Amino acid sequence: MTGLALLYSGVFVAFWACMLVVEAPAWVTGRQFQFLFSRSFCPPPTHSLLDKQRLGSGWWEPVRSPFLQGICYTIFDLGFRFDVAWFLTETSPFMWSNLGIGLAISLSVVGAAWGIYITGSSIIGGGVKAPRIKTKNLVSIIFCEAVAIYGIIMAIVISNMAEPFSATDPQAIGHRNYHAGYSMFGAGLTVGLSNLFCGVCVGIVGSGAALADAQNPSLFVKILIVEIFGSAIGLFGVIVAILQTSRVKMGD
Amino acid sequence: MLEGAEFYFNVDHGYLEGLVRGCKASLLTQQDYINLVQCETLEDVKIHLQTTDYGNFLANQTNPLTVSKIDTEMRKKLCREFEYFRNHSLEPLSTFFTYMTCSYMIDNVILLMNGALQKKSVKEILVKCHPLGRFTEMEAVNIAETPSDLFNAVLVETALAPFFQDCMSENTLDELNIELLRNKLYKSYLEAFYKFCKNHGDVTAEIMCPILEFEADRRAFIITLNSFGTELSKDDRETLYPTCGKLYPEGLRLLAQAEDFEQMRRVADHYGVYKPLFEAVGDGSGGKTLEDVFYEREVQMNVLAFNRQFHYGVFYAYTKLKEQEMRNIVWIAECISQRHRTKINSYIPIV
Repeated sequence: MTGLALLYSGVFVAFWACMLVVEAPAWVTGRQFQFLFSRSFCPPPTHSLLDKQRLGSGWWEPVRSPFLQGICYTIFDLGFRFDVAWFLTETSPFMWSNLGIGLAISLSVVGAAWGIYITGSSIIGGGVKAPRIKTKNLVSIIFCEAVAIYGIIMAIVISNMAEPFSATDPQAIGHRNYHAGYSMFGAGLTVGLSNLFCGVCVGIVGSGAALADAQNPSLFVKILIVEIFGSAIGLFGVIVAILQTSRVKMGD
Repeated sequence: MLEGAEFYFNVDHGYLEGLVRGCKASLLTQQDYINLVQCETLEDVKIHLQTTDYGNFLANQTNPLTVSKIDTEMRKKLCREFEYFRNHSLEPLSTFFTYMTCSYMIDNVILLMNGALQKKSVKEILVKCHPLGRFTEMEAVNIAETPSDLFNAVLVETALAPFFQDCMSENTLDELNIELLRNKLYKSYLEAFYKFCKNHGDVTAEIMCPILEFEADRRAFIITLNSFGTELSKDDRETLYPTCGKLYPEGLRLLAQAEDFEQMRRVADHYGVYKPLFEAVGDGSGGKTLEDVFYEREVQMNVLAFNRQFHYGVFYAYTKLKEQEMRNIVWIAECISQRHRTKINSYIPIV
């Protein structure tokens, strides 16, 4: 065999031998990803009150594969494959802009959903013995929903800035288009993450408000003020995102 | 970062927490207790209880009304609420509920075995059993002669199975051994419950672990108090103390050597939490007994459990507070029915 063929086949065999040795236990038992979903992986209820084992071991499981990949690249002199500059110039600005739009709406919706279920289940529980809280506490749900509305508004605003351009190589695409792509991604991330945490915050406070209202009606208005401050932080995210995309200009 | 209880608790348990807080709000208030204390007969008590959350629970009772009927109906109501919570719960809350019922199951098993020893019929004893501790193999408990018999034949399928590790001996079950069995089972159970709460972590551990530590220490003190003057040896006594409390290990060792109340008080003086409790114990017939003081402290801790959200302690605390309320109503009803009203005000109010 020629030298190159030998090199590549040797690297291939060595690499996969390493992978096999380290990852085989995970592959055999099928437990690589169960730790990620362990919250929904409900073992069937047993009569035994002995402790149930924790699946996966915390931080090592998700870090293991990339870490070993990195070690293999270093050992087999394949470091050239890890190239950030190539990545940033070869990926299209459209990918970044669409990721930004997607993150804007999806993270906002996750935040709104999280907040709504936290508040909603408390309202339902508290409403059994104190039915008067049902209507008043829908205000908390509305605050959470507002977060999703911020997300969709920003997603529409950002998506309106995406214009087609005809260049294909990095030199011809030009700095304006790259700037536009990265700005839209950043804006989407900004509004998405701030709405995520805003939704969660309003949800937790709203849950407390519902349960406190069930015990003592005068508490509701005071706790609502806390919720208003909580929902202001989502608005901050929207403002910053608008500022980020204010100079965006995509196109030829 | 997103690991705290407040993010995930409401997915599975939000509705039940809201419901149990609503139930807690309908416990009897100070005003209700004042009204009950002023009643002259049990019929008045029934009328006053109709205005509270109890409603018409005594409506189907035939005359004459007795205290034991009131007690049984209240217990049935608590059991209905508890079963509702339990049926709607998901893991790990349902394991928590199972742990809560284990203490009643242990009491029921011991009651049945004592009844078998005294040759009473099973049906008679089943009526006296606590409804929260009901399990399907209850009727078969009286056939067992030794603890290992009891375990292998009857209890191996129930939730009490893991607690039999230390109790497997071939001694036949007579009066003394049944009490020892009860205490050993309870010790294993309490330690397992404590470990469960601790492993769960988060707010549940912060609330439940102090409550269970107090329960363990209270158990140690009561066992010591009850063993003065009996032929229980000091080493035997030490094996009965639960080790998940504040007294472990030095306090328990000292307590095992104690021979009278004063020595027990001196052991408690080492601990900042228990010193004021023992100081509040009145002497002789005038003041409070040690049990009263312990009940007050338990009520205090259970009421504080409701100050935090997103933990399982509210269910435990609600059940214990409801039981205390039942004890209060029974105390007041007994004082009224026996026309002995001097100590009618020594119920423990739940604020």
